[in-house]
This record gives sequence, C-alpha cells and structure tokens, in this order.
Amino acid sequence: MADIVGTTALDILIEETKQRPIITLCRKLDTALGGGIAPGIITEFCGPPGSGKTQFCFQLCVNVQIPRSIGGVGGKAIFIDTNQDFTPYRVKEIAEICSKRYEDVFKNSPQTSSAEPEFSVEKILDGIRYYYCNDRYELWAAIQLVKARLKEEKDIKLIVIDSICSPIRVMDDYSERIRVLYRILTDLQIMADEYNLAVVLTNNLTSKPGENNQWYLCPALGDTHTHKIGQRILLGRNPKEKDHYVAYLEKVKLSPPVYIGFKITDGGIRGAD
Amino acid sequence: MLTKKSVLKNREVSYVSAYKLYQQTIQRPQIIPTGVKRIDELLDGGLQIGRIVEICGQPTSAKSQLSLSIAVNVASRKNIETIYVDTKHDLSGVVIRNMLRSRRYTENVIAETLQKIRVARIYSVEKLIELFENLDKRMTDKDNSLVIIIDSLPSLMYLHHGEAKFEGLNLLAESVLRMRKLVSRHQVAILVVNIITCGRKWTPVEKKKPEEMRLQKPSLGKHWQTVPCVRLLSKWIIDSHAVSFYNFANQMITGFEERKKLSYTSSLRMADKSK
Repeated sequence: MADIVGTTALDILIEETKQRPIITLCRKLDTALGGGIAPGIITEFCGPPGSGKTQFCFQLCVNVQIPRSIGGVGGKAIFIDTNQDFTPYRVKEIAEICSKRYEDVFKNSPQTSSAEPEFSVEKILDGIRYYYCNDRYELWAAIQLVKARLKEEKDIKLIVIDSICSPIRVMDDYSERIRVLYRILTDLQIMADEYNLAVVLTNNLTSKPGENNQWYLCPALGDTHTHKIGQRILLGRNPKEKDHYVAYLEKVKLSPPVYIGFKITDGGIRGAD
Repeated sequence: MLTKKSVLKNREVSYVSAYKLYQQTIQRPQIIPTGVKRIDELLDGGLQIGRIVEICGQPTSAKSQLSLSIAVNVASRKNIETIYVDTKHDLSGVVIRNMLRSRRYTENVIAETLQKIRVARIYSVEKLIELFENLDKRMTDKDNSLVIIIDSLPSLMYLHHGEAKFEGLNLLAESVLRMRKLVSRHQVAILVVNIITCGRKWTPVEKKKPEEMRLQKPSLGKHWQTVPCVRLLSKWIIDSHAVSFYNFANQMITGFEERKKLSYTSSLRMADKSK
C-alpha cells in the first residue's frame, strides 16, 4: 500500500549518481560538497560585504559552461541581480582565463577530436542571461518568466540570485516576509527538482541578541529561512593572512561543518594551497 | 443535502467496547522501535502505532539527520513500510548509502533497504492532504504497519503565513484530521519534524530586550501544540557549533576593523550608548 508513492530512495540514489555537479575550482571545497555545487538543491553563500559572495557567483556562471567532453556540465546560467553587483568586465576576466586553460588542455591531450566544442570568451558571456530586479515584484516576475522558459530551454543548469535578502528585507510585516520568501524558495525548489538545475543564492549578515545580552552576527532572514534552504556556506576574510578567505560549511549534506581556505585571483576562485 | 436521515444512513458511527480495544492492542505489535537507543528509551520503546510524535529543534540541530536514521532503521525491519515525505529536498540517497555503508552492510542489503524507503516529494499542503486521503482509501487491515515521516510540516505551512482570513490554519486543521483518521483506522505511526522560532510579532530591536527576543517556541501555532502525543527537542548539548560560528563571524569583524571599512562593531557600540 506504500506503493501509492512511486519513488523509492534507491531511485533517488541512482538519479543522484547520474547528476553532474558544478565544480567551484577550489579542490577542498569540491570534495567536501561531493564534487561541487549539486543540482536539485538550493545552496546559499552568506557573508559580510567583500567576502567573495558575488565572485563565487561569477565563477559558477562560467564553470557551469565547461563542456561535457571534459567532465563539465555544459549548461547555461541565469543571473538574477537585485543590488547592481554584476560587472561584465570581471566575468570576462574569469572567462578568459578559463577558456585559455581549456585550450591548453586540448593542445596537450593526445586524442584531439575534430568535433571539439567551442569554449570561447564570447560564447561564455553569451551563455549568461542577466536579469535586473529592483524589488520583490520584479524578482517574482523574473522567476515566473524563467520557470515558463525552462520547458523549452533545457540547457539552463544554474540560477543565481544575488542577493535574495535585499528585496525581501524591505517588507516590514514579518509574516508577509516569511510567506513571500517561502513562495519564492518553493518555486525555485520545484524548478531545481524538475529540470535538475542548481540554485545559488547570496545572503548578508545581520546581528542577533544572544547569551549575556551580547549581540552576535548571523545570516539575515532568520531561522525559518535557514530551515528551508538545502545548503549554506559562510564566507569571510581570513584575518591572519592577507588576501586569504575562509569558507565555513555550516549546513552541507555530505560534510560536517569545516573551514576551508580559498583565494580570489585574477582567474576567479581558487584553493588556498 | 445533508439531512438527519442521510447522515445516519451513510456514516457508520458505532461503539467498541473498551475490553475489545484492549484485546486488539495485545494481539498486534503496537510499538515500532526507532533503532536509536536513547530515543527508544525516551519514547518507552519506540514509535507507537496510532500516535503522532514530533521532533522539533533549531535549524542545523540534526532533525533531518535523526529522522533519516529512524527511516533507515525502520526500513531495515521486516513487515514495516516507510514513507518519507520530503518537503524541502532534504533526503539524499548518497547520505543514506553512506549511513548504511558505515554499518558494514553488503551492497545488496543496502539496495534492499533503500528500496523499502518510499519518498514523496511534496511542495504544498493540499498535496499532503491528498496523500493522506489516498492512503486512507487504499489501506486494508491485512497490510503491514506503516511509518510516515514528514520532514517538515512548517516548510509547507509557511507558504500561507500571514495570509488574509485563516493563514492556512484551516489547511493545517484538515491535515491534522486526516492524520488522526489514518492513525486511528490503520496500523500507522506518524513522525513530524517541526522547527523552533522566535515569537512571531516583530518589534524594532531597540525596544526589545535580548532575553525577550530569545524566547523561542515550536512553530505551527497553538492548535498544533495539542496534536502530537510526544514532542522531542533536538538540541546541541555543547553549543560548540554556534560558538565556532560566532567566533568566525567575530574574526571577520576584526578583519574589517583593520581595513577601516564598514565596521559592524562601531554600529554595535552606538547601540550600546543609546541604552
């Protein structure tokens, strides 16, 4: 009688092993995440300004387009911007180095096929679709638009919202805020489920009262938001070393909470070692 | 139209003697051990058929992990079926496989156990009610016992939070009715995951004492509080997790002070002065 529910956990496991995660190019982070940012799950990057959240988004937008022939996803990305952080110049910089690395790999490989897929800078930039949303209504509209389009364009494998908190935090009614947020997140989750794409959000920090009347920093949008998202990675600068950053895997499916160092180079996100 | 006659004709409301009920409970195995020793001790042996149990806790307090291990333990028993209602894509096949591998099961046993866990990915309360209705229709007395794990209910209910009229409370009440119906008629035990939140009314931070804001309670409202027969609170015993995170966050603040950029501490000091 339990067969009213068709899928078993085995089906889900088989599906998961077929999926290709999006690599971050930071090796330790990739291993901890089980190969990279997994499709089907909402992943959130969280941190103070200048901690590399947007850089991570740019890097993922480029990495999602790495051709399937060398183990990439070979998809396209949607970048929904809510606080005017998108700089095409920087994306071009990351894309140039990624494309050059790809060409080098092909030159050195012994079996160079004639049907070598193109991975040029223009193509990478063309594969990122940019939406600018000023408020929550526009954000909602953009998500609905993307949802309707996905039926035809199945090569979209990544949706980035940078950041989720700025259009939501303007609402002064707490219950409305939760409702709108949950509707957006549920919609994103359904899309991720159905079309097997990764969803990446960024979030800011806020302060929260804790023990002994002290205030602590914590991710914005509250515990109810933390409950709904699948994975959360906190980002910050490493105070001990210059130009070194730290990622803390607060809520990740395949890893206990750990710290992982990374650097932001001209070519984007790289491991610290 | 509902008349007295039609109601009496169509609805069977009959009594059962308490002695018969008592005999029934003796004949059938009524308790399903969760397989987690301490939880079984807390629950007097395990999940009881005919009851609803709740696990609540703050985010990342291992609620999903606990309910997953219970699902795995129950599924590895004979003659019991499991349905895992996943409302936020939390169930990962790889995690379950790793869990079973760490117990040194053979790959065949792992595949069998995985096959016994049925997963329903549900994203609205209406769909959940539909599932309960279907189960109620299809289940017979000869069926095996069934454990339903709902991870998590508030994730569906918050879609209606603060709505005009009933805020979706009517839907919650209906799903509670269905749950109770299922549990009372058939060999079913239900485990629900709930979260803990700060009180719902938000006032500006300056007007609020920190203690007041830390007042935390299980979500889903007053009506729900009467539903589960047992509520388990999942918590970090040593708050090392949060402490390490706060240390990390505070390190970030010092990093910012050095660079004389936007500093969180200065704004916090200002808040202190205003007291």
